[in-house]
Amino acid sequence: MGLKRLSRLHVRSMEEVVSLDDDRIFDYPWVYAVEVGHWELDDSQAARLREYLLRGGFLMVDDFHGSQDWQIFAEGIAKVFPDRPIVDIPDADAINHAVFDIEDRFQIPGIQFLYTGRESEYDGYDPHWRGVYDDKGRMMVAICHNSDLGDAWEHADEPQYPEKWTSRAYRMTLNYIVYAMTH
Amino acid sequence: MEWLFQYPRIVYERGTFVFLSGWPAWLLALLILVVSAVFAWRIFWPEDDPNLPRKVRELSLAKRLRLNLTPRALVLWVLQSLFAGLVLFLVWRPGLEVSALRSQQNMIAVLVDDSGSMLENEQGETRLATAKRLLAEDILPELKDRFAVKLYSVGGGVQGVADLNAVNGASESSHLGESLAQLARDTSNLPVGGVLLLSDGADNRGAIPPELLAAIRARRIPVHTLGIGRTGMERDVEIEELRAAPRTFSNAKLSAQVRVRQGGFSGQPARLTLKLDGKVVANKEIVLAADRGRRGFQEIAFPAGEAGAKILEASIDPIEGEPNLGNNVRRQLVNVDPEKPRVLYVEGEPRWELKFVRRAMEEDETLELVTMLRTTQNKIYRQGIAEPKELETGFPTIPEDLFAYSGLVIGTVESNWFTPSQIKLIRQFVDERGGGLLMLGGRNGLSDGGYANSELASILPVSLGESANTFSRTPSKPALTARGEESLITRLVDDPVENRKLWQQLPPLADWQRVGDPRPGAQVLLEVGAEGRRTPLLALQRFGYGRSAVFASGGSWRWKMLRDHADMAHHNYWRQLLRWLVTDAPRQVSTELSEQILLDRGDVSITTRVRDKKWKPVTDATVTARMVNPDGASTEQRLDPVPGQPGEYKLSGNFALPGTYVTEIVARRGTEEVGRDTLSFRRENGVAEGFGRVQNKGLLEGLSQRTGGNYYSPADASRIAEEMTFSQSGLTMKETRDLWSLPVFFLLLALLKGSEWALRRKWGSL
Repeated sequence: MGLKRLSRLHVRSMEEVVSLDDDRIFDYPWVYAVEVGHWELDDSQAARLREYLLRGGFLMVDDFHGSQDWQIFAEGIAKVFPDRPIVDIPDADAINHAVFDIEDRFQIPGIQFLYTGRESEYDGYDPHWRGVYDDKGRMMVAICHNSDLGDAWEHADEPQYPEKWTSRAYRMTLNYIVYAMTH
Repeated sequence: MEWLFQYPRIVYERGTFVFLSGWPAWLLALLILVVSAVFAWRIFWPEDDPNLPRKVRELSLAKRLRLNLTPRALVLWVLQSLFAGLVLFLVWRPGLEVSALRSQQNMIAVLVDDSGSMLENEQGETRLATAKRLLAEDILPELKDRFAVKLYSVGGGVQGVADLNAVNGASESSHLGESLAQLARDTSNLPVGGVLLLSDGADNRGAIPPELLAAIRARRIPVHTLGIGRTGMERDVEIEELRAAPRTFSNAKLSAQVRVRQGGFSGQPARLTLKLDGKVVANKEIVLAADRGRRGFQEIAFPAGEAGAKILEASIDPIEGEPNLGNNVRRQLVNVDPEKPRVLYVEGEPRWELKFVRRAMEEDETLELVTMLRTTQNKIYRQGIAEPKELETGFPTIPEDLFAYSGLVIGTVESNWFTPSQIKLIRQFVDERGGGLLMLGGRNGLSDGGYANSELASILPVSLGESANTFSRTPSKPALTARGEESLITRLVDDPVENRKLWQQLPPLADWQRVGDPRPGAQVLLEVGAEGRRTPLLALQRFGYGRSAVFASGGSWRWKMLRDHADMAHHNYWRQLLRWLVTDAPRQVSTELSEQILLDRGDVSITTRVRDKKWKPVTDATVTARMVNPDGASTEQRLDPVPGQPGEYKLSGNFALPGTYVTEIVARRGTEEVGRDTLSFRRENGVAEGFGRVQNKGLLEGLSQRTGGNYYSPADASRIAEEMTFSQSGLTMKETRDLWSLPVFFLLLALLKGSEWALRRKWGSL
């Protein structure tokens, strides 16, 4: 609903859940994955994700926190692309300017903030906005580490959840989606 | 048969029927009717014969009449009526009025082809010797009895000769059209009653240009042709024609169409090779005669490569036992432009089609794709722009900005997003600027975007229905049409069979849109929808100076996402479609040559069209051509404005040296440069005569037909002199020829009476 209101994106009202093992994944050139600090990709799944991304698919990962989650995620990505590094996204990258100009990227905590009062989880104190690029410099994987943009969308109508995080989460996501649909 | 009709056929063809008695024709018709009626009365009217049975006598008159109407009586009545009618017809003195040349007061021009191909030996005699023999024995003596005869030799031009010995096949080329036009001019004060051309029809151009034919026809002189040489090929293979776009942009994929003809090698395999600047770029195995393809052309795709003037060469490898190898190769020039055309793609909402089209074009070096995407209600995301200000204020509103692009793609954007003046501008972009417009399907595209009621509807290759809801997100497979199988746009792989298979294997489109029928002249390359209810998916046409196309889908991205990442089907499709869109889109300064390959002649004219940024003709430009000759020397000449053609400038010249000439045209307005264009042409000597070793009968027949003359074969030579008498050109008089004395009529009369007599004998009484 937020994306519809903020942009001319024509999106469904409900998400479509697809598995990496399902051929239907190729019908969705943009996929969003959460808690990838717990994923376990076998060789065939890694090869499938690589093929998906090389064909032009885009993966946005979110809601995984701390060094342990990162290690597991990074191992999975290394299986997908053994020879491609994960790099920090520079402020000037087109993904930060597709719809909104966003350069002061701050951490976006999940709903747990309301219960714990902590903006970070585990040892994920600093937000990391990273990506994996293809040979032509186009981002294939956008990584939101130590933030939870998904919670910020989901709890947009929660009075206690700060509006600035919801607002920023929507804007960043819109940038990511429009980037994925233009690069 | 001629003895039956007394006069040659041409008299009947050219003559006008008249009755020489001077009596009215209606009287003849009336008399024939009366005589027939009298015969009918005599034969069919019932007699009051008391010997007839009482039963018969008591019948009514009508019934008795019906009894007399037997088949035998009818046959006799017809025979008698025909006989009497024919006699009456002859009494009226039928005749023909025909226009004939006055004896000894007219000139007949006899032209003998003096080109090298006339030295071809056939059955122990050269073609030239055959022509001379026919002239000396069958034609000239009789012609000279009737007319003043002047002999000419025809090669690169026409030249009067004293006798036939001066014609020896020494001319390197044969330009029949130019020669006849020159003859028409040179003899404008003379009473030329007709022209007789003895030739094998081997013209270096392969045809007579319409403007030359018009000049010959304007004199109303009939050109009779006597075709010399065999009409079928014997143990020879020839590249009859090579066609390819004369100019293109760098790295574009081009198609060469090659027509091969052969004699004596039917069914044999042969290798057709294409070279660009001496380097093999494509080849194809063909089967001679049996594999001539559609309309007789073989089609081969090849890459144009980097910018520059290039020689494209099509050749057939020599076949064992083929004596003439001089016609196994043909060449033409291809000017590969360094300038990249720019295409603007406007998309009304983020969608996958834009991403994947961009990806296809990112790896294409032939053109630049600029995209503007409406991401929010008020924001446009621009990609591929040359400088920050480009499209900063949205879609162009003035011609200078829009006309800087060569192609325009409109995606799913409602028609009312454009202002009425922008819609008008888009129309002018195609119609006047010569740009290419491609409209895509989408939930706000085509009919659903309200374009049926816009000014753009009429320039599209398909009609648009007024109803919305034509857009469907049900995946559907594209189907290649017969046209699509031939087109380079839909040629995803070179081999036609593999290409057809590939189209069958492509995944269904993510969406598609129903459109109306194609317009007359439009080509439908792809269709979509259920069998029996298919609708055009890709249709295209020329409109005004430009071209327009509809690809009624926004879902071809599945051809990339659902196939291996290295698969190029999607990318090739879009590259070829967008290249087609901008091919031929003129630039501000665009130049055309009368011919690119000059065979044994040097005349060429260069015409340049100069337009300003609004695409209005520039009438005050200074246009110069810098010509680099084959020997490296360069000259600079000015092009003159063409009267009555604003913005057009022309230069004609004759170029003697064989080789390639590179011309750079620069148009200036004061000190400001309007634009420039570079192209090339080539002169080749001594090549043309290796081609067309068989008689070009079609050319000679066509020439005769269009000028009111006749085509003759050597067997008809004895008829020529007499038949040339009947002409409407020169000094003529009306002659009348009696028809009543024709043997055929007397034979017919005898036949009619004889038949009646024989039948009466056989049948006895009726």
